[in-house]
Amino acid sequence: MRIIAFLVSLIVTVALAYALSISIKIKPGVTLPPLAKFFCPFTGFWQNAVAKNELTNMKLHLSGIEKGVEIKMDDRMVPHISAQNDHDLLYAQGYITAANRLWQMDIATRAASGRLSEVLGNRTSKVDRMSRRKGLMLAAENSLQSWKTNKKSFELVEAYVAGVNAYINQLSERNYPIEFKLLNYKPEQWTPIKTALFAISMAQTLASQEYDLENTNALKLFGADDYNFLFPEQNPNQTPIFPAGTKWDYIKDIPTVSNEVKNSIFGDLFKYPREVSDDPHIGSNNWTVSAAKTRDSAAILCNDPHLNLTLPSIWYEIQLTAPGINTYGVSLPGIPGVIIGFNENIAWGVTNTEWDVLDWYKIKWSDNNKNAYILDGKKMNVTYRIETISVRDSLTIVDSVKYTTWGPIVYEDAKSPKYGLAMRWLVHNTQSPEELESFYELDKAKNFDEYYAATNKYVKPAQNIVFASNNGDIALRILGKMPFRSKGQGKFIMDGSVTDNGWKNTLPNEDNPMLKNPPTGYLTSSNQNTTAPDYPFYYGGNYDDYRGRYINRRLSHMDSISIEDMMKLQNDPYSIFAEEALPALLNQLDPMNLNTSERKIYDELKNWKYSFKAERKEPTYFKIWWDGFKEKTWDEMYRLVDSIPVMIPENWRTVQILNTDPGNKYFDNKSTTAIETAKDIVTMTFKDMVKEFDKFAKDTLHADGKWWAYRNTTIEHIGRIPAFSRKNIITDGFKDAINATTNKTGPSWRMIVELSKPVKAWGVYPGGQSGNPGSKYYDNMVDQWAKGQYNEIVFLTKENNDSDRIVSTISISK
Amino acid sequence: MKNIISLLVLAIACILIQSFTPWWSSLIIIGLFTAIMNTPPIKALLFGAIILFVIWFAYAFYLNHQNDGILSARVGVLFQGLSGFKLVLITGILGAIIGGLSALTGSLFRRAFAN
Repeated sequence: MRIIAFLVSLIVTVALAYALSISIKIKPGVTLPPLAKFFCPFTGFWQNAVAKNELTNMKLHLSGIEKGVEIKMDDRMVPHISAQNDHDLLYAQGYITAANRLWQMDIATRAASGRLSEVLGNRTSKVDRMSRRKGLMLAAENSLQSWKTNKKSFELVEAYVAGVNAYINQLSERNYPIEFKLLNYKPEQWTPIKTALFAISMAQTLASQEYDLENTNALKLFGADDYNFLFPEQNPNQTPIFPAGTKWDYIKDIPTVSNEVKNSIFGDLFKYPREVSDDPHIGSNNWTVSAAKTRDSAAILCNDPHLNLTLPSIWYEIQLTAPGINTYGVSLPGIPGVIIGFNENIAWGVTNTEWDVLDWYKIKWSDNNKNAYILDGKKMNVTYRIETISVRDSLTIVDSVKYTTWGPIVYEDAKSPKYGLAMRWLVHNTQSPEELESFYELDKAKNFDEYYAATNKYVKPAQNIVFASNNGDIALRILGKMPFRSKGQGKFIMDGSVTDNGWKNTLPNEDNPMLKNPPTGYLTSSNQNTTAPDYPFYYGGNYDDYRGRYINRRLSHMDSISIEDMMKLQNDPYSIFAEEALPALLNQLDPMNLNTSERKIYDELKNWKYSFKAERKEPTYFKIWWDGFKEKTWDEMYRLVDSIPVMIPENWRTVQILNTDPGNKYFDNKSTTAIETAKDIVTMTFKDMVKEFDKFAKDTLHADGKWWAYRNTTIEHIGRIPAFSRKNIITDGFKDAINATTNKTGPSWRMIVELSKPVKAWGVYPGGQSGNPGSKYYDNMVDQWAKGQYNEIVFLTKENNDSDRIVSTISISK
Repeated sequence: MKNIISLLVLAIACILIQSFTPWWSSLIIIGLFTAIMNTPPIKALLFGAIILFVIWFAYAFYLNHQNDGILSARVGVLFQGLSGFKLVLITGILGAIIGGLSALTGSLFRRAFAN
């Protein structure tokens, strides 16, 4: 009897203890962490509840340190690392980055290598499969192989990797970032391939956008005449980075283009779903004004890259100091060095170039086994790369990805047995042995010549890198490997059975466009067309139509510029899109047809100054109206987009057609029997808008329909944990304004540098230095960012190596 | 008095072992303790529950306090909007349940196999 009582008690205790130490799935998408392990205050999440004043002096002994490092933490927890050689500097960068962003580093490289499902289960298996099909891991392997051929620069990666691992190795379970505890898994060792993967995932974000399937289908559906009418290549109102008339005679040998590309405009529509779509709102602004244009006679450089807004942020602020280097800026967790920043003499900032570096080739299988394809009339065998995706709590997925001479077969339709689509991506196999040195040498550069030499080594993703120095030079270069294309090549899906349809070469950085010290006194780029049509090369791609024009308009009229002017400009929510689209809409609307409440909104809109301020309602009216108008106008495309990827005319072209051709057949809405003109659609969608707005504004959560509530900006936790995200951010901005804040993207880092002696800088990003949701530094800059405020940056130099804003010091010795 | 001293000894042992080992190690310590001390079952159950409740509750309360409740406010949202204090309380209750059960098991073990 007593034995039975004991056994019952034992079994209950052990069973309960077991149940409380495993993850339990309670419904799809909701998994409880191991409760006892998670709540136990000695090992669980309470250990992540760091002291409110977490910055304390520390002494660390790490065996990988050669000479010794001192890290001063300022009042925003920005580390100011001081080392005696490059090795120790990057080792300490790896260490301190991991200490603050380890889980972010882990999940980002898992995403790029298609290994999310190992820890997240079935819900990410589709995403993983697509990452594998797109060959991101292969691209990282090729990058790494090529980095290894350059011993000097590879040693820098190895130092960084060793620093990250020094942090991981001294971790016990209680100190794991909270996400590891919630998802119940352990951090892995960091390796150089993970650094390469991080670089590839940035390239995937910034240099993989294309609309080849959409263009091909649009051409097929609407015919060449309509296609050319609806989708012209260049907006005539655009202000390209390099204006018309720029001399291109510095380009040494302009290669001749002999081949005519054979596009695959045959057969069926391409009905492949775009499983992983890239966000078209990712972009950036940068500009610099020369000393002659500023109040204090020192050049000013500004940069705000627009990316997905996440917590933790994509950026980690840092100062790196060692003999030969003293740089400050933002870094990417996983990559050594500073990416956007300044030093004592120069500053630089980046925007995305948007040139087309990803093409699709239609593969013709030689038979139904699909092991071989036709190339130049000959049979070629595919090679296989076996992708094994482990899925937590589920069956392992094995996918054999076929590789052709172009690249991997990403889309293959079982229903059309004859064809597959192969992806040709520049990033897969570009040689880049000097890639890592490029940013590190830029971090060290003292003048234009050193900027020029450092950026010549730049490889991917292609960027417009603006430069300013304290000796008066300003410059802007287009950098990165670019395929040398024949006219129109890669706009549509190409015939993959002809070798001649491939890219012939890439252009050297020295031949890419550059401007230095222009007479206008300023330089800017913001993802608009790089050049006017007089540029001798075709580069494809899709471009921003509004921000660049507005920046040019403003900078060309500004003089005696102050830092405050630049702060105001960087936060400016004015949109040229609204300035052009709203009058075009209002022009077609007869106010006599409106009832009282409609008339009131009409009057408000008429007086609106096109500024997307958080607390205004006019932006909400305009946005609902425009979206409705566009959907009803382009109903021919919108009714297809869920089943077939298809192009939709751009906003600038829509406005142009509305102004010049209001009777165009496309204004007729196919779902009605009547034949509509622009006037009918404009009136109908205005009335719909008033109804929709009233419905929206009535909900008490929606703040009377104010713009911030309608736009609904969320800074989402990378693991999509709502509790760790920030919702309903009240801030100005619109995707076509300089302040390009949307519902989930926006200025991910705002930086302003004055190239005075000594250099001064201001910065802010919508997040915080710590990746720990239990730290006050997790999101401490979000509210500042939303209000358009900046932090004055603490920049330590040899002469001035302390500040009253330094809170604590970490000394690291062997 | 004897009870209080043994409680204190056990508490210190639990805190020490938990600082270096997985969360379930204190279960073994508590079970061993009641087995060795030959604590009667009901008393053992109370004993174990109180001791782990106090330790877990107090430590969680302290950690939450010195953190200004920043983390518990966020973790609370994960658990249907529980407040920071309720999370501290749940922590204590979880401790009480597993502490009590393991103390009971230790006590019953002694009674099953002694003599």
